[in-house]
Amino acid sequence: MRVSLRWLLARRAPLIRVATNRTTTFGLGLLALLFLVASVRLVQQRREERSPGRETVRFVHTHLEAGVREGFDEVARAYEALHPGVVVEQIAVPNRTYAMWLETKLTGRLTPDLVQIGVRTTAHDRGITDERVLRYFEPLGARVEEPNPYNNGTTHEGLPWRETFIDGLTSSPAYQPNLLNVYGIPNTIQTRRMFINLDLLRRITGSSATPASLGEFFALCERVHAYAGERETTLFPLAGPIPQEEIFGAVTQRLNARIEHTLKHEITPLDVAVGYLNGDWSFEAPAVRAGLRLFREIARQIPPGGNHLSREDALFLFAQQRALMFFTDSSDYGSIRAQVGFPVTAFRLPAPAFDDPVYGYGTLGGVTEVSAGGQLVFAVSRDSPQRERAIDFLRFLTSQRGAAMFARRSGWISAVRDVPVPEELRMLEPVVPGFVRGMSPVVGGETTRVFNQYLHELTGPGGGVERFVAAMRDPYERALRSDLQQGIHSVVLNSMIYDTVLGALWWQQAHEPGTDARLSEVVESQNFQEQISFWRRHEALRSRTDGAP
Amino acid sequence: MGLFPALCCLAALAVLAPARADTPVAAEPDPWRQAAELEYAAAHATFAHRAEAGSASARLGQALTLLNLAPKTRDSIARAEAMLSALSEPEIDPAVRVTARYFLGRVAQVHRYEPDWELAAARFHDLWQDHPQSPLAQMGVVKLALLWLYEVVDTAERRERFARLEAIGPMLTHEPARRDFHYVMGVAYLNHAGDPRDALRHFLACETVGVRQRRTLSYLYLRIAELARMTDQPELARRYYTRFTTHFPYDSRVNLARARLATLATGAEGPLDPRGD
Repeated sequence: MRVSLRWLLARRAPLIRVATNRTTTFGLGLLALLFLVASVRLVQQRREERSPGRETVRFVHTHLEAGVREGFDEVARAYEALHPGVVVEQIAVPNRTYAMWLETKLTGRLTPDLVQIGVRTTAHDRGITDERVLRYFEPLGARVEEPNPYNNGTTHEGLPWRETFIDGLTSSPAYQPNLLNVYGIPNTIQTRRMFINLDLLRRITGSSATPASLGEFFALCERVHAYAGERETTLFPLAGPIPQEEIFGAVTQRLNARIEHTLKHEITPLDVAVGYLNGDWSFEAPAVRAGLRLFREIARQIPPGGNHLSREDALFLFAQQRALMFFTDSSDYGSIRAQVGFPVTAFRLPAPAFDDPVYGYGTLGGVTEVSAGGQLVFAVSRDSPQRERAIDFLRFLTSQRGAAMFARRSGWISAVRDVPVPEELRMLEPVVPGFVRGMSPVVGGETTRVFNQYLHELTGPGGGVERFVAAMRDPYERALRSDLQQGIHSVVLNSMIYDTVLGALWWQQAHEPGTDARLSEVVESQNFQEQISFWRRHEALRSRTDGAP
Repeated sequence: MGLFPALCCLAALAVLAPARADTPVAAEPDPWRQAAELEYAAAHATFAHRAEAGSASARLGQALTLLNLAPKTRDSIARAEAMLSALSEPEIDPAVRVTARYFLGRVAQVHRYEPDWELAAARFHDLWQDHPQSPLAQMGVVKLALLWLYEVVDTAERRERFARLEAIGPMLTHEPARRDFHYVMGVAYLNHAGDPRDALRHFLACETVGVRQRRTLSYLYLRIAELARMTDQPELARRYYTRFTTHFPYDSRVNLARARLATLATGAEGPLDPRGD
């Protein structure tokens, strides 16, 4: 029989009632005490912040990996030593709750001075929206053209701040392509690498040489399958998930020029969507077929369901030595080192050779990492009461001295040029030779959903390229139109927001000289974005009218 | 048990107390500046207050901020449009009137829930006809080009529109308008598979004025180089590929520009063009 508290009280069990009353009183008292302590601390903190001459700069990020917070702390203390009265505080928020946390802060206008942007909570999350960036963060385009004073006396003295970064601040999320401006300052360079268990590799192959070509990669995978079969053990070549962008990006490079007519030699997912609607590419294209075949072949190397594994679960498989390799971001290297008990090295997933008869049709022989995106990017909040101080701290953090301090403690490759890279991290450095990545058929949330929904037709037992293409052709086009529409709407939304700014700048310019440079920039951004967006709209409408593709 | 509410009140007072002390009385901020900083709600309130005194510029500011004031509704857009219409009457100060007419074009083009491109084009065209020297009317010509060139029409109609815009182009004197007009025309020729020499002419004119965004500059250099190569102008192509590699050494397209330069030097075929699939 179940004896509840209510039942006991109803039975007038006096001893229990006394105990319950005491417990309640104690609980409420404790709650009141904690509330009081928190309130006093809050008041103290406010008083300290308001004390004359004191400035507090807060920055928030999502990196709980070993070494990162320590790296930031070291730089912050060095900055405080240079600027008495300034306090720099970091707030680390777990990745999974970051989007919600940030939304609350942005809405409540309680945003820290510096905010990490470009954080993805899932693999297909596009991060913060353009509209949010435009509304809540400071454009830094003009600032990054000025030299960083903390670089005086170094090889970067006198150089525009922008030029001190490895990618010249040309990649997202520091550079916001839809807003045509720099909105953030990066701290590290991130590449994607195949990490491999060296002990296991030696046991399987008798050598520690990593694959140098796609053929060698698949040969290694076959040896792993044979090794596992001989020993009747569970071992997969790859822990999953499948590196989709890398696969398609390497085999469809030649299609870029066919899809993007305006000779900028760079394609966005929405260019791919337009290209599909006007027949520039289809699932019949040999390069796309090669991508699907390669996808299927790589899917054979991962455990069943491995494509849907989270990064943590895939790392667990790798650490448990149930998979020889693990494909992930270079910034995971610290976590891998900390969690596995065997030596690890890394290599790039080899691209198909130009003359590869199966996968080489659309390749240009490799994808360059010359503009490998700067990550851990901080944007400056428009609500910050000390924007100048916050930007000054960013300058120090990304000066040669600050960047070297952070890189040394975090074990991450700095986004700043000429910062020494430890020998151990050389395998993670961007590879310069090669060309722009090719297209991928996944262009947004809806196409991602459809692609994944029908993936079993490609990778499952009895599946194949033909079955996959036949099953998903119709739903794919509907999904693609939806993604395209959403992309067009997003640009129009920005455009509308710009209008009021433009009107205000226009009026200011007439009555207050000195605003025409910003006005000119806003007009340029708006017109160039509308050009792209209206073309996409034109093609979406035209393809409906023509019944294409 | 009475201790808990008392503690709460005390704590709340302690938290709130410092906020009310020594709060300086700030001067009324400039609402145009606030609007330029995306502080639409604050700017709108100030404009509304000033508009009561009959200021036409304040009414203009009120209408412009209303366009982006949350929550944005059909009604708020209609009210903003009505205010702008009232400000475009002949008796209104010309600076306010021209600005209001430009934004009436924008309302029809993008702000309405169901945009009316024909009406927007008519508004921009009329503004240009009435005030050809006005920088804002010239900026309206860029919008007119976007509306005309990206409406789904037949080839003959599009050709006619290109011709009409080509006639307007030389009359533009305002630099941002000239720059953007040439850029829009150049890209439109490429999008609609026009003559590459026309596109090249416009991109070169755009570069003469000078673009402000680095990303756009990278597109401009590469497009000029590519079009020059395609129209058999190797010297021009070489010059712009070199500019691209010099100005954008960390761009992911830099190896393509280098490969093109090598091809221009040797005359050999490059591997970079699409195969016929």
